[in-house]
Amino acid sequence: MTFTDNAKVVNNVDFSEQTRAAIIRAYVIIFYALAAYKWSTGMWLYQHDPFVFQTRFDGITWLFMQTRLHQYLLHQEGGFLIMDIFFYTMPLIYYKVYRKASAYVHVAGFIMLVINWFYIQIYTLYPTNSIEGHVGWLLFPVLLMMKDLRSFYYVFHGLRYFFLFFFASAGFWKIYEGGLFNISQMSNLLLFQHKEQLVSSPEHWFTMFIYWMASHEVFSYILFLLTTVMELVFLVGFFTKRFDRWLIRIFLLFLLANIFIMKINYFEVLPFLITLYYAKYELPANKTA
Amino acid sequence: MFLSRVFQHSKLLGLFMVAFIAGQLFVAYNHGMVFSPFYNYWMYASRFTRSDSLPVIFIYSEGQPLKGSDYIQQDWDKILLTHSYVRHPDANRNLYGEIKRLTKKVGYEMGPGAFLMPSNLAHPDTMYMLWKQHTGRISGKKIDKVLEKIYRWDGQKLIPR
Repeated sequence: MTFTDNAKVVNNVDFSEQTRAAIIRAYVIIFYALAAYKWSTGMWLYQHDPFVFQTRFDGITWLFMQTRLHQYLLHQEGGFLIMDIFFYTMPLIYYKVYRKASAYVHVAGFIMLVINWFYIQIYTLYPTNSIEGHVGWLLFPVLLMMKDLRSFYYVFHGLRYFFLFFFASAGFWKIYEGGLFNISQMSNLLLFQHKEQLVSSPEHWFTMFIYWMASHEVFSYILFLLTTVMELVFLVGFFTKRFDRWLIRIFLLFLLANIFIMKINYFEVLPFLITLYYAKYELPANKTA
Repeated sequence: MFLSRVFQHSKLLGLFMVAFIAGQLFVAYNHGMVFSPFYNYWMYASRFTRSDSLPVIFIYSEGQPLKGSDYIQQDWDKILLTHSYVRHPDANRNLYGEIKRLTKKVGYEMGPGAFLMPSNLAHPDTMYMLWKQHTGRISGKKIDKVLEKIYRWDGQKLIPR
């Protein structure tokens, strides 16, 4: 089945300027909902107030590090807050430009791209964030730079494919690296992930729960297996858009299970769900049904 | 096919997408060094074997260890992860050796300056003092000491080894 054929199997509606507006609105809403959540949990850069950074094995990060901004900020009173202000105001500025001066939307998108790249590269050099989970903020500005509706449509679907790859490849790596073939995998992961909490809070309900999971290796393994299947199921999105709403539900389930069991949150990946939600909208010329 | 439609619309956009796909596939095939925004999503994908000696960090305030359950996950991570950075003060220096080797190979050797902690913060004692202040702010407690103890899994719970 080709991409064009997919149009036959979903209930198409036109991808129009209204669709673009809805996508941008959804992005801005998700961004600020996450901003509020992160502020409430002390995850803005100025709240972290980092004093140490760790270099990573990323060739592009090494180029960013040549600016030495990450070192300069360690000494600069208020520097982290200024970084936050740039990052957290940009979507609002972009939205204003889109509404009031859409001829300059590519300029606003480009500025957001530059700010996001600097912010995310620096933010994730300090503990406690990994850059992989923040890839959405690195890529979405490319979409927002697109002035022409057709380009916007194609980049939007490109992001959808990227998200499908992102998630499905996580399942693939579990096979390739062998974790999937280790019956004790989940049990061992749980102990490693939570060891300090387990030992320091032995009476807590979460400790009891994790100990129960760790001692029931087969049950834990089935959860690990199910997670891998959930990830691999995203491959279906490469062939049809019919199940995109189901993929959204699967991702949300994955997200909640990760927060509850592993205490890892992937909230920053949420903007990618917009690409699944609006995937059924087709450019009028592409419609075959 | 999606890509051919993109090319029909704009050659530039099509080339950009092909380059993007090639970059991601290269990083996946290489499965080592990455180049933002191309990463490998392999967290917890490799085999996790059970060790008989699991190091556990205890952070003491007024003679009592901090309890993970008293903190939201974000704060607990901030306490523990920053400590792991402090515990391995040579991590940046060790990685720099590899950076030097690789950048030299491509004809642009990067100096160590950008990759190491600034000299006034790099000393392990300074880093530890800063970590204590940092953890004190998060926990609202004065941190006395940190101990690493070895635990093992007895099939029901973690016990001191």
